[in-house]
Amino acid sequence: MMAAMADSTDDSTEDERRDRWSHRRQFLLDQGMLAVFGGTVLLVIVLAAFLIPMLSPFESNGQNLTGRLQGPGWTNADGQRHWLGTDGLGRDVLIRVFIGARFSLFISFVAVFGSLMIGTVIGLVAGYRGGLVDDALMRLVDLQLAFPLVLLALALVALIGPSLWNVILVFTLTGWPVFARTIRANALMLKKRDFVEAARGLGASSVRIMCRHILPNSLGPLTVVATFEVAKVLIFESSLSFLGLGVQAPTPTWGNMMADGRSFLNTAWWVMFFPGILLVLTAAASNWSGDGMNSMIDPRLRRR
Amino acid sequence: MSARYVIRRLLQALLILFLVSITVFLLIHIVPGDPARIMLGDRARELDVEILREQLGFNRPLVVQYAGFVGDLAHGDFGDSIRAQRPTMELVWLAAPASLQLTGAALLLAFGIGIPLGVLAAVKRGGVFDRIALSFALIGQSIPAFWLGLVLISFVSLRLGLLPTSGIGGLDHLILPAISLAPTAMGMVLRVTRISMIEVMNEDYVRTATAKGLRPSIVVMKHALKNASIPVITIMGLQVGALLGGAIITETVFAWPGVGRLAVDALIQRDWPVVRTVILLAAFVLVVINVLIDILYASIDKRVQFE
Repeated sequence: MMAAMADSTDDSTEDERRDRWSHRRQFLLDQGMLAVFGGTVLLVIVLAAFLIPMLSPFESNGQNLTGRLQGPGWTNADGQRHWLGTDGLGRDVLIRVFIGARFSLFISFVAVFGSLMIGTVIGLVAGYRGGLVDDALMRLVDLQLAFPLVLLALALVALIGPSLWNVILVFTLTGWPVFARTIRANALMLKKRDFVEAARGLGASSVRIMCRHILPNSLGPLTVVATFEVAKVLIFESSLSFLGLGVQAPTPTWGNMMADGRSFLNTAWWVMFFPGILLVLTAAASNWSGDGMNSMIDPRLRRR
Repeated sequence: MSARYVIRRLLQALLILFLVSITVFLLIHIVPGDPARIMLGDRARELDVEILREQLGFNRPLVVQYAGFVGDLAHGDFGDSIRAQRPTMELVWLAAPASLQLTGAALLLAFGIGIPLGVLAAVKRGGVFDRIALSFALIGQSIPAFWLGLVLISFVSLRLGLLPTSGIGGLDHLILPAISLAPTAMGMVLRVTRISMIEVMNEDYVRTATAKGLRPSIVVMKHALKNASIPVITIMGLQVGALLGGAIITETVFAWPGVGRLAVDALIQRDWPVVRTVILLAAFVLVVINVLIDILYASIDKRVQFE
């Protein structure tokens, strides 16, 4: 994405250079649009998760045994329309998909925020202090990265019991290494820069340098990693939930709705389809915004 | 490549494996409550719990237990399955070929589609094809394998009656699970191939090849792709863990008798020794792969050793 614009042949003519510059501006603009587009889609999904359940005439657990497994667009006896059909207990799929969205989004936002906090502290200290502290903390990162995440998360949730906060806890505790690595790399780079040396020369304490100089200059990469992590946790959380190791029924989550839908693959595809497609859309939106921001802040793009 | 680098890297790996063994050993103990009770569930009889506690040595001090655990591991004894009453290693060994077959097929698809598209995207960077390829990769990385599996079973197997819905068998059984598992890896291969190709194509030797008047297709294939493939392989090695994770749930959806399904079934039946063995072996495989890649990388790029 980035190196495309970064080739440096100094024998280029003024025209060529201007041409390349306008190319690059166009590219940055495109990437900005991508980030905005992803962010907008995400925002729309969050808003829908708040509004649709409020506006819907149905309850998320309101059963209607005479209206089971009806297809999208079916209208019940009271003239209410089930836009996305009903599930095996006659519950409205639309409201359940968006109540599920609340849980999935809440879990991934809180867990990613938690791992961001832990990872930032560990990475900052490791990168800035260096030496033995760095070695020890980075071995901890290596240790965590040695496990296949899904399997570890599955085992932990199975051991401590599936519940909303346990799922959040597990994803927080397994998600921090990538943040620690990111900010450590940044701290290693920044601590040799003049403004940090200057601050140290003026007598600023380590904590102050870490919080006021290194952290603010690392927010870009951290935000990018966080958006990718949100997408990842959304998918992992649904996987856990799909296996029955997430938030428990009757509370709807995308994962347990898809697990429900597994029994009706032949007769009622909509039960598993809609939670999944919304998950794909949310994860993609998150990845889009991360991608867009990433190419905007990548240092290789700013080189000239 | 200096022998010192290799030795240091191997020692680091050993340290990690040691830490892995402690972590996995402690997993069952950090949970509040009696480990034997956790394994057997709330409805088990007190007598059975007592027998299991005795059998697994949970009433001895932790350090003694850990020493016994590592000693057994060193002798290749990973413990016995509670449900199947057989060595867990044997169960994993029986399930491994199916998993290898599935992940192998998925990787083949991922590389087969990801590399050509990545190369084309790099050659035509900034253009329409590049954008389409990148979106394709991004969506691939956003699709959960198990959902794609459900969609394929529902529409391809059940509605169109084309391929089997589940189980292992001939090539026809392999197609849908492999397609479900492939997109995540495919997206990654495509993106990494594209980036490394773009970087390599700016290198002097590629410019020289172009300046010599070689045909563009030869420059791309012989000079650029060959050198761009190193990072692609490296990054894929690092992603083995993610692939294993995807395979766990894909296997469950397709009733594919692999290690992933073994682990999930064991989790649901609270057969902790089996889960523990799968986690240990998976971590072992990941650590070994990463060490091999680091050493391979260092032998190709001398600068790495001095970092």
